[in-house]
Amino acid sequence: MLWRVKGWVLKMYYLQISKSPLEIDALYQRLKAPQYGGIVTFIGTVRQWTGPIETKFIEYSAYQSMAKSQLNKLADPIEAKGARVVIAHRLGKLQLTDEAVFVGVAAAHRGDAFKWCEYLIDQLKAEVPIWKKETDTDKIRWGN
Amino acid sequence: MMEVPIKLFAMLQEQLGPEVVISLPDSVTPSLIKTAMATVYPTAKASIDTARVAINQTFAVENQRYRLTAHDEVAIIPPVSGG
Repeated sequence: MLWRVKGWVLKMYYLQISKSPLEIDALYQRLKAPQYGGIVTFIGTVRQWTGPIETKFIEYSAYQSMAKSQLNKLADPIEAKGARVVIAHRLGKLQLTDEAVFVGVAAAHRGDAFKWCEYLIDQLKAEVPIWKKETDTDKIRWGN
Repeated sequence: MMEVPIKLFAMLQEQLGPEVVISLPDSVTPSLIKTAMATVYPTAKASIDTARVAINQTFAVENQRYRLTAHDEVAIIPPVSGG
């Protein structure tokens, strides 16, 4: 568990960007606490087909220090509302069905947990410097 | 003018390497940095045009002027595609 003390607020969020396979159950366990009644998790996996394009594998890379800093900026305001945030992104070469990203939010009630989980994955995909290089059957593609 | 190391990522890193050094005025805007990069590396212009600029690991705001020092970390950020 990553503990960050900022003023009087104890930060509980856990952020990870690494080449290790995502340990989904361990990440989920970090979200459990008596004050939360709703946990929403999103897991992004490597998809084979995007319309007519067939993907063979994907390589993820990052500007790691900035990516971590951007994730901190995303998690801070959510935790300030009393929820807990766990985000993990995998780097390196991933095969079909491998988990690339885990975003989890634990909140007192499900409404907030759903809302913030969707917000975090949307923001991650727009503002966090991580890139995918897709090797498809016809050619290599960067990004979506 | 000063010599500024520029960090590169994704397709730009594959094309030009993890870092290049270019000459920039002390006071810059994100678009000025991108124009200078595209002038020195015209073959990478298409990728540079769609990228954003980060200064000290924060996205730089378009039209805002930044006074660079030797300690600043400048990076070109192609459209991100994590998740």
